[in-house]
Amino acid sequence: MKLRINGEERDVVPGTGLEELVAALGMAPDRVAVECNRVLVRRTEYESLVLEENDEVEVVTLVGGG
Amino acid sequence: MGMESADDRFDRQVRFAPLGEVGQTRISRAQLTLVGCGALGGVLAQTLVRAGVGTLIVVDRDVVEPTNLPRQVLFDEAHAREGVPKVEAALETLERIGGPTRIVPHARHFDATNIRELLAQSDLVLDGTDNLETRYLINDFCVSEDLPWIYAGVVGGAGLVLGIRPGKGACLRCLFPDPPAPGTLPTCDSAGVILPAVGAVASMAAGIAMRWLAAPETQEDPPATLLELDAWNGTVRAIQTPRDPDCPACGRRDFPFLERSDSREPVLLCGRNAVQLRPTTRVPDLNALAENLPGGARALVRTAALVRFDLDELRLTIFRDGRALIEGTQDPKRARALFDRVLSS
Repeated sequence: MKLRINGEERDVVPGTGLEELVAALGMAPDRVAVECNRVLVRRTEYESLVLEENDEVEVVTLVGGG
Repeated sequence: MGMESADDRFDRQVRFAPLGEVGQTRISRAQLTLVGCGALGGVLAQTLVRAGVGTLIVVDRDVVEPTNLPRQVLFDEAHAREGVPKVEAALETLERIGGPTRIVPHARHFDATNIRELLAQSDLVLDGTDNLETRYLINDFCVSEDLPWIYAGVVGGAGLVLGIRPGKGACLRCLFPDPPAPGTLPTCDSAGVILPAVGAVASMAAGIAMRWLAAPETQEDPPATLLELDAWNGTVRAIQTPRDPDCPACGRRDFPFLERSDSREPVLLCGRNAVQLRPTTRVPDLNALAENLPGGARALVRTAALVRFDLDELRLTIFRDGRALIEGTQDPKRARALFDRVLSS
């Protein structure tokens, strides 16, 4: 199924969960904030959230420099 | 054109209607604490001093060095050559800009032991730090004291900004409950950083700061938003960030970072081939130290604020409060061994 991740279209296996997706993007769940269809996803929902066709996902990584 | 008096200094800023005379008066009475005056902190300090804030407290532990110059706007080659403490160099530049702001420099390491002294009297806290440990400490303190602060972070060509009004929108720990283990995120040291990214992030943070100081909160205020500004790709992303009622900090009011002092732990400085050692229990006498250097020590510099010399291909800078900066290594053990040797000489 198709998702829009950080503005780019990506193909993922149907039934992919958010946690799997974050891992597949090479990111660690504790270092990202995730928005799905313009709503911030609570950290406790990462495990249970199953993505659906055409979901728009924004993944923002914590930045430590300065 | 050249005919305007000091009274007109803020004319163009006051003409901006959302700020106005009332906003300028509020800005001129505000006190801010800026933690860190390197890359982000330099742009923040310059912007807020030019804006005419009442008092700006600036805290930074580092000294200026040549690799700072492409992005740290308050410093020049003379500062880098002499290794001036960043707050002193910042004060010099900011005083040249002039204006009504009272600037209070602190060449100190910022931690749980002095956070109350440095933050509690301020109306707003600005983030010019280069590490997450300090940001989690600031977040804990500001949430516990209901004090607004603005998180800003930058690395490579992009960075994040989050204005935090405790209880109104997300705090840092609503989004990222625990800091990642050290070394797991890219730093300015590993991934580099460019001034346009610094400028974009710090300017956005400074804009939020000016609005918060100038205008009381209203229903029309934009919702809390995490912004990602990418000055290399020319992109901006914004995520609305309502607070998490179950947040460990602003929800459950658990503030573990206020309890940690780690005062003996060496710190690797971001973007620097350098180790900082915190004050020892015995604060060295800088005069005595300068007169009794170990054999092989070269290039001694002694100022009111510090003693500096080269030894074993490393450069040691020892500050009045006993803190030491060891440049030329990232090995805390080597730095500690050399420092202990110097103190026992």
